[in-house]
Amino acid sequence: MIAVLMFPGSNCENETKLACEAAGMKAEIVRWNDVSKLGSYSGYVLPGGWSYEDRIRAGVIASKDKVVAFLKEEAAAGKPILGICNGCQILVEAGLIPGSGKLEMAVARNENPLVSGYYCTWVHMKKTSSKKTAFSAVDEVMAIPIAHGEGRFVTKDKELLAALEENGQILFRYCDVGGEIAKAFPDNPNGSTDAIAGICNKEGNVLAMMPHPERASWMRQLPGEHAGGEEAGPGLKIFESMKRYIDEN
Amino acid sequence: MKTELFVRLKVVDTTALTALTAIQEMGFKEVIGVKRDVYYAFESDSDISKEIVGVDVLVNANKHAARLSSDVDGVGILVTDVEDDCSSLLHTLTERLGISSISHVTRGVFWMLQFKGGVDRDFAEKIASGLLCNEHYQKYEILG
Amino acid sequence: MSLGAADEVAISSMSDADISTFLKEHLLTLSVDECKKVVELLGRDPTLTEVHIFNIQWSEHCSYKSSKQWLKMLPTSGPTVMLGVGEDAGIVRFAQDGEDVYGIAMSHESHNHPSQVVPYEGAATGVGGNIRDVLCMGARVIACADPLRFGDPNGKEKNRVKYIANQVVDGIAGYGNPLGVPVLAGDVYFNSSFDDNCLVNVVTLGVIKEKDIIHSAAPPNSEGHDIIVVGKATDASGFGGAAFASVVLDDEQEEYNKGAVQVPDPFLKNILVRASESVFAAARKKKVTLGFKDMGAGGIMCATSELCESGGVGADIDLEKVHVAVEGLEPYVIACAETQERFAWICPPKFTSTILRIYNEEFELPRVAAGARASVVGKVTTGDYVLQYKGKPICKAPASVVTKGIEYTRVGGSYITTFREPTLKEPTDYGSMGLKILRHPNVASKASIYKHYDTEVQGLAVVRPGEADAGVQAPVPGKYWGVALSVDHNPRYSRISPFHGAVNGVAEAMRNVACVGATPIGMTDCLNMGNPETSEHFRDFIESVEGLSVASHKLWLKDYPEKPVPFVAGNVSFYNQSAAGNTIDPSPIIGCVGKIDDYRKVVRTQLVAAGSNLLMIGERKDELGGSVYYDVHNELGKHVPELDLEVQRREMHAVIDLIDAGLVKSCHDISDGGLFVTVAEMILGKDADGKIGVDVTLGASELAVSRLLFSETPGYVLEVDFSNMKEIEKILGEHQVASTVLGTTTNDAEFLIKEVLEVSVASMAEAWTSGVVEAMK
Repeated sequence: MIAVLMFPGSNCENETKLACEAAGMKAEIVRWNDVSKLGSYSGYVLPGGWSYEDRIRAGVIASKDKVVAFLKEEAAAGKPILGICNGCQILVEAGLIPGSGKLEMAVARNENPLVSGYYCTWVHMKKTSSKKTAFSAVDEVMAIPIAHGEGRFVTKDKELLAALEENGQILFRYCDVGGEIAKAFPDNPNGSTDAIAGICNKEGNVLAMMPHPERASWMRQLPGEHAGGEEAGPGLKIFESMKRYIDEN
Repeated sequence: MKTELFVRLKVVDTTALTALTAIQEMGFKEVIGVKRDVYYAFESDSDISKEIVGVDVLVNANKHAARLSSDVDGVGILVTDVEDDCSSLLHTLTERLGISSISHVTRGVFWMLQFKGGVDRDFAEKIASGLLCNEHYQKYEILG
Repeated sequence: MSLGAADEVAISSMSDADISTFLKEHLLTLSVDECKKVVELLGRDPTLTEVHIFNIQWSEHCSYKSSKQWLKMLPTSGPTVMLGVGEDAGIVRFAQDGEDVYGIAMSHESHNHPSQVVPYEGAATGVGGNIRDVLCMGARVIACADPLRFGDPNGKEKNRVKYIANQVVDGIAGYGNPLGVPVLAGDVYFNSSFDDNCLVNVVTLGVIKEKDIIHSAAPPNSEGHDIIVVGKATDASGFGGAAFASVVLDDEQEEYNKGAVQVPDPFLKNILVRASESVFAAARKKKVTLGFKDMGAGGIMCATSELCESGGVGADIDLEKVHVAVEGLEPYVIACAETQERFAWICPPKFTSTILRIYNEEFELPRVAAGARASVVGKVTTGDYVLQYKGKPICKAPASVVTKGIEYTRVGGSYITTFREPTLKEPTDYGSMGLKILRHPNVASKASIYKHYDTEVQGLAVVRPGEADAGVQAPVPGKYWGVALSVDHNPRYSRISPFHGAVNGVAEAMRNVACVGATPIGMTDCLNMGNPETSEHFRDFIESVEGLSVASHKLWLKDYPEKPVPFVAGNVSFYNQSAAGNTIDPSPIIGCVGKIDDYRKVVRTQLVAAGSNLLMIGERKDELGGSVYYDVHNELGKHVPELDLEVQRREMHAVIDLIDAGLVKSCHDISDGGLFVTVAEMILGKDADGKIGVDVTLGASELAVSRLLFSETPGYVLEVDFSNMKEIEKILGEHQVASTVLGTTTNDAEFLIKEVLEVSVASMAEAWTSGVVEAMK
């Protein structure tokens, strides 16, 4: 059973649960203050939304909720933890990504010449690490939407990014439709350093990503001229990957 | 010359209230009040202080109170982005609104914490670095 | 006879002059006559609280006193209606799966005046209020649309206009995004009539099963039920003194202003939505019937009195039990304040502890917002509607008297208009004129606005803003049913002719829904008008309603011939004029909802392939009144499109059938900017990166080329395969619809009209993507 954690202000929990189920996992939405079954889950998803309305800074207040402290233990125990958008911001503020437990990065306000603040659009994302992680069994390039005002990965630690690259922790980067790593807007929708879209921990069981795979999990969701319906979309593979990891570990 | 502008909501500031709850839940029960201003600093050739408080993109008198000095009651923590591109705001002020003497704008958030008993700068440091500011893209300064 | 309350107002023994003084002192908008009528109705002198109650209940906003009589012209029932007007939202019948009958709940409201003063908060709370109406039916809120009207971004009020426009968009995003309601449709018009009075309308959709509907009424046999107020702590919202302040430096003492601004809290609302859905689920499981209503204007008083009146019961409410934000509020403030994010429940006592536990403990309302909670404030009775304060009744009357409202018979005075067609020379460069029109903010791409909104949340989007003429969602996961939504109205048409402007509004909203292949099943309307006490402006209102009525009857339901497409929700907003007398263009804004059985059949606007045929439906006419072409020449004109509604209906139904038969590759309607813009937008696509061009030959015509290209007579352009022409002509023939072959699609990145114009995609993209960005800068 997967716990889709609902923080006060989360808003993607319903479709995230549906994506987990479409991938063959059992999932339930767990309120932030419902601690009764916390240890019993085989994996966790922190869905998108606006925990605490992003007050002060996206993800910072939720990162101090008791349930997040508990997640640190679950991460150390090797359980898969997926943070999407606001979930990504929470994991970064809590230090669960890159994984030392300390605040090593920020997911800062977007840099965007077209729309100031919150920006919602479809982009492409490329898998840029061959590391075996709980979320890697995906297409090399996939169409996926983003929707956020604070999505730009930055750090003041000059050596960190090189270390992450070497460890294969930079799992996803923004790219163009042909798979070339994004050099600028609009392929890079928010000015993220090195076009980074998703980072995992060294062990590969925790992933924080800004794009929304649950919004690309059914073909009907993809924009443009096509006749896709209820069959699986590219984003579903992230959840299927998580299921395989649980089955194999 | 430099002009600072502090803009605060006259109506309920739900963000400041949530910040207070978060600070108390972190263990800082001595903090009994939080106020929040949007902070601007302008560099200009001439004195814009009288004009700047009437600019609607900065101050809407129906919901904002504006002042030109920090007037700290308690401890003030100014948080700004290390690299904040205010070019769009600068363009609006100089081109659209015609306040051409402005050459530079910075903006940030000015938090004022009120402590039961006396001011505690040590706690203010912890609150700044542990909650209000992410030093990977922001910096803070403690005033008062 | 008297209530014996200390705050009784001795109206019956006051002179008219004294009553007038009293009303002014207390900032009441009741007239002297209305005040005397209160005495008559109650059979005694009212308390101060009761005067405040009737002041609100008999305001134009709450009572529809000027409009009610005329609104009866609108069709509100029919085979597609599951729940008509009268409750918080209307519901249209959508789809059935075994025993489950699904409905789409719809609500449409305005928040114009607050948005002119504090545009961020006004727009945000406008969204919030409209969403509450749909939630209150027990529905899952799935989509919003935002039709917006702003002043001239290049005119004398341009700075104010730009400030308001940017803040309104921020406010809508700042509320809908955290709440998690995607924007599915919208439109924006800029013109100087809105300089002093912007329009911010919101349309909200929800999805619900018929058996799960929760009514805005006390349930049957509810005597002894508890009345519960949930949400934000009540404050003095709506009771501000002077509404607008002059700039004051560092003055924290402005308590009197605090009431004038409604503070949005989408974080609290997000929690309230989830907690309320939890209550719905618990009630369904335990088979408990509840009454639920949102609080808007008139606050606790209005919501609870209406819940009781609809259930034929009364109430006994203790205002001291209401959770308040600040001590010392007058009782009439507690009763009538417009504090946001609040609801009222009526529930059987055995279920009360469940409701309190869900809101106060499971969802921790007090931690989410200072003072927020669920509180039991009273009980349902079989007697009068009674409000108590400090042990004394301060309002006591039958619920039906409180909610009755009043009605006036207003008539409009006819007036002479002097609109005339301008004499303009034909453009020497049609391409250049076309680009100028593409750049006009009423035509240009709205991407810089809608990309600020979350269009993907909830994962239901099939066609999102920009991709087609209507947005489409798949509201029931796992099912192929699609719901389409479009919002429309062209203000300049109504400036010339309120009747034809309204007819065009209905026709365009339905046409846009048809363009994606969906069939219109229901509509909403918001009549944004000027001063009803001015006879010309009231005439505009009446003619607008006439136009809506005629159009909805003639453009009848496709599946039920002769039955009009019903209006299931609506709103009236009067007094959209400035002190200086600048009145908005009459703006009956329409929302149209449609259904498509299989969303895989939707078509979008962008051309799909080179080598296709372009077909036009809808004969071109010399109808440039109110057009963008004239606007670019600073003219208004006179000949607005005057629709032959029989032809419109047949054309629309033909297009729906063609798309259903799989014979259409892309489709776009002809409206603002005429045929030129339609084809240009089909070439460009949503992201202005289209690679397929067009080669058109205009046939012989009596009309000047400027008319052929830029006249806004309604129509459609369809991209089809030449090999399907026989089948296409058969379907067109069945509907007696004529069509013209315009030309073909090509691999050249240009818009070519032989011997008329040749414009590159790059130049069209530059113009089209700049217009709105420049207007808002």
